[in-house]
Parts: sequence; C-alpha cells; structure tokens
Amino acid sequence: MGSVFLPHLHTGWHVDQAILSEDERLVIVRFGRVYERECMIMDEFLFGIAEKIKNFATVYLCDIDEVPDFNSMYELYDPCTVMFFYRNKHMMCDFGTGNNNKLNFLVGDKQELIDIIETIYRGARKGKGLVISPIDYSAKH
Amino acid sequence: MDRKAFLDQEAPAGYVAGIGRGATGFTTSADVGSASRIVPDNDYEDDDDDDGPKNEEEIDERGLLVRGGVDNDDDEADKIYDEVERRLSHKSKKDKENSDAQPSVTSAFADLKRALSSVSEDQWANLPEVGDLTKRNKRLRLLEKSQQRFYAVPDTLLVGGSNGGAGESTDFNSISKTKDKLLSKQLDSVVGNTGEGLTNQIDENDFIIDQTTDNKIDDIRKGRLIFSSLRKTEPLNPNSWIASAKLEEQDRKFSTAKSLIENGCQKIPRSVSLWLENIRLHHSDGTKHCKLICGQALKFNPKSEQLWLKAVDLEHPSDFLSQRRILMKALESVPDSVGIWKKLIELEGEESKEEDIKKLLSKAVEFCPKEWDFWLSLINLSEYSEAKSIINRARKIMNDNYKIWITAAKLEERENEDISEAKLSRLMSKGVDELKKHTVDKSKLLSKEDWLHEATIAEGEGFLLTCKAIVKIALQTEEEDEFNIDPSSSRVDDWLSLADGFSKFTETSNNIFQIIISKYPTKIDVWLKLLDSFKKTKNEKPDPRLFEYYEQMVKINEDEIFYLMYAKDLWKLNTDIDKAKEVLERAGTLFPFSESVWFARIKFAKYTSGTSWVEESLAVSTKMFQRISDNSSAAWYKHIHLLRCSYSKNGKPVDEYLTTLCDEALDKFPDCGKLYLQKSQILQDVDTLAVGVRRCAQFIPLWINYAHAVKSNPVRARAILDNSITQNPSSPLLWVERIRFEKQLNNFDSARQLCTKALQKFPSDANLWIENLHLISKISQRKNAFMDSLKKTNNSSIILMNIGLFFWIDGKFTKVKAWFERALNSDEGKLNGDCWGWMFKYFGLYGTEDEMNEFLQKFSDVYDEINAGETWTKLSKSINRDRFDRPVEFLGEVSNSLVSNTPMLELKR
Repeated sequence: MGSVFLPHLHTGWHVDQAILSEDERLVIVRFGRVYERECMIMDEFLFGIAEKIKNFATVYLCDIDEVPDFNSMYELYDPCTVMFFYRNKHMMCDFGTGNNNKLNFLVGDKQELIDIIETIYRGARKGKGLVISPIDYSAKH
Repeated sequence: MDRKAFLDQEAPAGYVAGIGRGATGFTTSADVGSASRIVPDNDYEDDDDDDGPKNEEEIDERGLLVRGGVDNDDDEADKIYDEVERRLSHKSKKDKENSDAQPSVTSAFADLKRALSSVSEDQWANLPEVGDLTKRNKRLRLLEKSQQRFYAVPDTLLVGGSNGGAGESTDFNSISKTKDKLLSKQLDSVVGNTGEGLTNQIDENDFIIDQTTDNKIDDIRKGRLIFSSLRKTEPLNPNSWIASAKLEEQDRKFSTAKSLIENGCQKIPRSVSLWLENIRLHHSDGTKHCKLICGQALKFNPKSEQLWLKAVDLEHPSDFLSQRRILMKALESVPDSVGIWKKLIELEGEESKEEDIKKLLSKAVEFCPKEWDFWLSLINLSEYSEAKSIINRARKIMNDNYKIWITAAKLEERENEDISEAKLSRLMSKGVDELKKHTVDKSKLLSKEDWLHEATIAEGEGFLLTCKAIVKIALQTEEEDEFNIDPSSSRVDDWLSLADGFSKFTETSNNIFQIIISKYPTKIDVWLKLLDSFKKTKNEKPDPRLFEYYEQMVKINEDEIFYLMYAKDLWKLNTDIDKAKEVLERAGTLFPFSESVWFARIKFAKYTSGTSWVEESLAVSTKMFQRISDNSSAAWYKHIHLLRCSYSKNGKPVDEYLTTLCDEALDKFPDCGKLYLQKSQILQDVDTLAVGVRRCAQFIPLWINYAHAVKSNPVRARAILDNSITQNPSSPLLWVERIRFEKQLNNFDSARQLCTKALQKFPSDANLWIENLHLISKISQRKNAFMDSLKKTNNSSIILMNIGLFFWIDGKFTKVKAWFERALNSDEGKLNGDCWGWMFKYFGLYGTEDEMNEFLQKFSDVYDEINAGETWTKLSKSINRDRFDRPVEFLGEVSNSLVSNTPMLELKR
C-alpha cells in the first residue's frame, strides 16, 4: 500500500537529485523490490511514519532493478535496504549488526524506526557521520 | 507532502549516477555473503508465470532450487542448519520467558524516555560529546594538513614588494585570487590532460608577475603625470620637485632624479630643503661633488644653519681645521645661530685650551644671549668675580630664568666656604621675587615639587646649603600662594608627605623637616622624624647636627622624655658621658619630682661609674628620697636594693636602719609583693613570706620563695604550692615549681603525672615542656617529644637550647653547637642570658679561639639588652653582682652556675 503513496525515484539522476535537494532534513531512500515481503512491510512502516517525521526527514523509494546504478556502489542485494543521507552525506548508524552503512533488516515496529531516524537526524545536526542506534539489533539479526 | 520539481523532470542523457554529487561507495566485509542471494529478473518472472502469485519466500526458494538443482550435500547442510535453527529458537524462547519475568530495560526507562520530550533544542545541541570514537577529529586534522598550501614565490614578486614604498602598495588581494584560480586549474589538470595543465600553470605564473609589475608601472606612470602637472602649475613649490625626484629614485632612475632636482634647484635656489635633497641624492657621487653643491647652495642661502651644518658634516670628521674654518665662515654670516655655536664649542672642547673656549663662550653669549647652556658653561669656566658679573649680565637678559638664581647660589657656596645659609636664602628669595615680577605667564613659575626637584639635584652635586635654601624657597612659595598661615595640620601633613616622597635624598627631606619645625615647633612627631633621619645616616659618629637639634627640641618642648632620649643618644651613640650627665642633671633640675628622670640618673650612675657604682647610684637615689616625699613602690624597692648592695659590698651586717626602711615601705605599700620578697631576703624570714602571700596572692615569686623556704618540711611545702596553684590557676610557673619539687623528692611518677596535667592546661608553655623532656627516661621517646615540644611552643628558644643540652648529655658534641646556635639566632633567644651562658661554656671546652672571640664580640653587642634566662636574671639581680664587673666575667659566672644546676652533665675535656 505504502509504496503507492510515497514518491518513487526512477533514474540514478533522480536519486542524486533527491539526495541533493534537502538542506535541513534527512533524506531516507529505501532501495529494494516492491514485491518482496520485507520490503512491503518496510514500505508500510515508512508510509505510516512519513507524516510524523516530515519535519526532519523525507522518504523516497527506489527499485533496485529499475535503477541498478547504485547496486554495486552501495552493495544493494538485500530485498530491502534503507539508507540515510544528510546534506549529501551518507549517514551511518551502528545497529550492532556489523554493517553500519544501511538498515537492511526489519525493525520491530514503527516507533523503533522513528527512534532510529531521529537519532540519525540528531547526530547529523551535530555534524557526525556515524551514530549509535538507540536499539541494539545484534541479537536479533 | 509537497512534491519536489525534479521528480517530474527527465534525467539528462548519459548521466552517470552518483558522480554528480561525488558519491563514494563502500565495501562491507561483514556482509559479502548474502550477495549470492541476488536473483536474476527472468527467473522469478518465469515462476510468476507458472505458479501465479505466491508467498515471496517460496518464490525465492524455488528460484534457488531451479538454478542450482537439488544436491545431497545441500540437503544435509539444510538439515544441519535447521537443527541449529531449532536449537537456537528453543534457546531464545527460554530467554524470552526469562526476560518476560523481569521488566525489560526499555520499559524500566520508559518514563525517563518520555521526559526527553521536554528537552529543548539547545539542550540537545549542547549534549556532551563522547570521545573521538570514529577518529573523526584525527581524520579532519590530517585532511586539514594535507590541504594546507605552500607556494614558491618567484623572486620578482619579492623585489616588487620591497620597492613599493610610500607611493603604491602591492595588491595582495588580486594575487591571492589568481593563486586560487591557479590551484583550481592545477586540480583540473590532475583529472584531465596533464601536459596541458603544466603549460597553463606556467602561463598563469607569468601572468601574476606581469600583473604586479604592470600595477607598479601604472602607479609610477600615474605619479609621474601628476607630479609633472604639479611642476608646471606650481613651479615655485619645492615639494613637487622633491616628490618627483623621490619617485624617480624609487623607480631606480637616478639620473632622471638628479636632473629633476637640479632643475628644481635652478628654479628655486632659495629653498634649503631642495638643496639638502640635492646633496642627499648626490651622495653616491662622492663628497667632493656634494661639497660643490653645498657651496652653490650656500651662495644662495648664506643664512641657513642647516646648510652650514651639512657642509661641516661633509668634511672628514678628523679634518679639524677645515671644519673649524667652515664654522667660522658660517658664524660670519649667521652669528646668532645656536646650533653652529654649539658645534664649534664642541669641536673646540676636544682640541683647544680652556682659555679659547672661554673666549668662544663669551662671544657666543653675546650673540645668543637667550641660550642658558652657554651661560652655564661660561660661568663654570670663569673665576668667582668674573662669574658673578656674568651671572648679573645673564640675569638682566633672562630675568625669568630660575636656573640663574640656583647657579648663583651654587657659585656662592662653592667660592665662599663660610657663607651662611641665611645669605643664600636671601639670595634665593630675591631671585623668586624677581622671577615673579618678570615672568609674564604665571603658570611657568616653578611649583613646589619642581623646586624640590632642583633641591635634590643640588644635593646630588654636593651643594648642601643651596639645597637647603631651595627647599626653603619651595615651601615659602606655597605659603605665599595661599595667604593663610594658620598652623593647619593639613599643611604639615602635606609637607610631611613631600618629605617622605624625597626620603631618598636625605638632605632635602631633612631640610623640609627643619622648615616644618621652625614653623611649628610643637609638632613632636616631626621632631622625631627629623632625629630619626639623622640617626639613620650615622656612620662611625653620628651627625653633630643631631645633638644640636636635640638641644633645640628640649628647649622648645619641655618634656622629660625628650631629655631622657637626648641623654641616651648622647651616651649610646656619641659615648659622650659627661655631656649626657649634664643633660640628665639639667633634666633633674627642671623636673625635680619626676621619678623617671631620677631612675635614669640612677641607671646612668650604675653603668658609668665603674667599680664605685654602688656608692654613686646610692647617692643619687638618696638624693631622690630627699627630694620626693611620696615615692612609688618601685623607688622604694630600688633604694633598698641599692642599700643592700652597698651593705654586702662593705661587709656590713643587716642593721636596724635597713629593716625599718623595709617596714616603712611595707606600711606605705602593703600590697607590693616585691617589697615582701625583699624583706624576706634581708631577714631570711619565713613569716614575712607568709604575710606577703596572704596580702599579695597574685605575686608568683613570693609563693615560690615561700615553698623554697619551707623545703625542709615537704608536706608543708607541697601544701603551699597546691594552695598557690588553686589561687593562681593561670600560672604555668607554679606548675613548673611543683614538678621540680616532686623531682627533688625523687617522686618521678607523680612529677610525670603533674607534668601531663600541666601540659594539658598550658600546651604551649616552654618551661613545662622542658620539665617534661627531662622526665622522659627512654631516649627513643625523647625524639618525638622534641618534635612535639618544638611544634607546640613554636620553636621556643629555650626548648632549642635544652635540646642542645640533651645532646650534650648524650655526648653528641657537634649537634650541641648547632642547636645552641639555633637558639641564639632567634630574636627571643638573643636576649636570653642562659643561652649565652651555655654557649660560652661549650666554646670554652670545645671551641677554637677564633670561635670564642667571635662569640664574645656578638655577646658584647647585645649585652645591654639581655633580660631573660632564669639563671641570668637571678644572678644579675643578686646583691653580689658587683663582683663580676666585666660582661665576660659575669657570663662565666652564669655558665658555671648553669653547669652546677645540671647534675646530669659530665663535662669532658
């Protein structure tokens, strides 16, 4: 459902423009395939929270099959990968999973996702490149 | 949600994703494994067609299977993984149960988390940072370092910069801009064609140089235009010529510069500055050419002092004759030039005789009458009578110059040895009057401070009388300014503070004091300050003026204390015994009823009469008794004491007269403990002590003597001491006595008990500590007790001395000396006779002769001031005192008595 309402990015240029377009807000790009279960759940979550986080973050969706330009650059091979950018800077987050570059697993609920996004935003505002996730996912994934 | 515009735009053709925004990828070592899960598109499309919509996992599974086929190994592996999975899920279920039992961490902090909503934006921003976990700071630092740029600047740039002096300045801004451009070009060239970049760079470099030199050339060109138009419009303004010449000089076109300036000189030959500039420019052509120019210049400007001096400078400094010739010529044309006269006199001063200089000076004075320096040097070189006439001449010409008058006063003082100070003051006051009359601008008159400053200069030059006269003038001027001459204290205070300000210059400050005193003779503190300043400057003998002032002071302020001070200083500082005696006698006639004068006379008789001191002082004290009918108790005591001394000296037994005198004294002063003590000593009588103790319970020595007197009966003595302690609970001396008493009876335990008790009451009493130290039997404990006692009594000198004594008893002789010296070095110990006595004994036994002599020297310095020490005071007050007349003999007696009182000490030679 959610994937219908959130803006889609159809080319690499659009992805770049989306990342460059925001000065004050976090840019969240979900790379994945719409038909995968994980991806659907994530889209649902993102659509659910998009209105709540609109003050400090904006959400875009990108199909990695339609736009394969970043697959090798960002190692996009998971069904669903959420990446964060702030002022054209790739924001990293230590989830405890060993991969700080992206969120490539399903979080428990929407609130968890909001918490993570907020934490990243706070860190980004302070000029950090890496933040520590408020929830540790090392045991779960 | 607003929709961004770019979402509806077409992507540009041939766009390479990511590069446009400089994106860089990453490799995650931990995450490579799952790359195998990438599924080709067509695979699942096929599946989709075959089986219709299914759940994704299945599709995934299928896809894999289709591609890879089923394998036994795979099956086995799957089984193992399933097993592991099952195990793990089982475990996690257990964990879940456990965690359900306890509240989770998130729920425990839920309320706190909610409270975070109240945290403001600022507070978030100001949260403390964790350490540099990601090494971000270090990376930034390295990045910064790598970004710092250094350039090799071509030499032409530097040269251009140093030449751009006053007129123009280098445009640093444009240079740095081009540098930035250059750098960006360079960076581009790294990406693109390297060969092309290099040539670009070189071009750019040339461009910079071209630009800067262009700038300079532009500026100079502009300047030239401006100056040439200036020269045309104002050809008679020398400045435009000078400026153009300077511009050419900056451009290193010296010949143009020279021709320009020469042009200028021809056009305006009367401009001195042009000529001077001309000479300066031609300096490189050798002095000969310069001289020529100078000669030309002087032809047009014969009155210019500057040019003449320049001409002298151009001569070789050792060529004295031609320098002089030029100066003489100069004086012919400008006879009133101060600079030339000065130069000439300076020159002559090196070479010729005093006579010639004097002649020159007198000429100089004729032509430059306003120049004080010439007058002064002329006066200094002249004879007295001549100098006088010169001063008079100078005065007529410069009637508002104060220096003339000061010089006159100095001259008078120098030439007339016996000139009186009054004469000088008259001279000075006349000078001040004249100055006031002739000075138009009243603010130019010297202030009080300026006059005093002049006085200090005079003092420094040794003209003491002049100094005094000037000080007088200084203070007078102020007085007249204010017109009211009431003895207000503020005036005196003001002057006193002035004197303090000049305290480095003794004479000046003394003079101020003297003047204050002559105005306000009743100001005692000023007198004392004056006397003090005289005493401070004493060398071998004090200044005789000190006693003159004493004499004046006692005349004006009739107070016995001043007489006593006078006599004391006469006696001590001047060793003028006769004069001191005379002063005392005068004081005696003036104040016949003053006891302090009488006491002073007795003391004086005692210390100055040699062996017959008893008779002398007794005579004085008898006189006192005849004069004064109602003497104080102290007078009675002194008198009876002297009588006793005289009796013991003559071997006379105690007679009726003495006892009646005692009784009489006691009748008059029944509460004076000293008199009881004296009487008991005379009569060797316990009853007197008993009575005395009853009447004067606060007088401690009476109690102690009483206890001593009944020593044969220990029970009674103890009772007396206990009684005394209850009556005088605040006297540590009685406790000491009590402890000693027990010690004498060998009751060491009770002595120790008493000692601890007493020390609790008086923890800082040195005598009690000494008793305590003596009662400690173990040497090991003693060391700590030493430290304690020193700490508690704040390094009391007698404790130091006793520690030395302990070391002596233990036979550690080197330490003994150190401790005794420590005791004697303290201020309090210096006045303790016992310390001196012990040291004397020590040096007598173990010291060298030099040490002993040095010690005795020090001893005789302080002998008169020693007033403490148990044994010392006992002996010095004894009626047999006169047997040990000399200080050293007395010291020997003290030390012997000290040794005999210390039975533990075995003296070894």
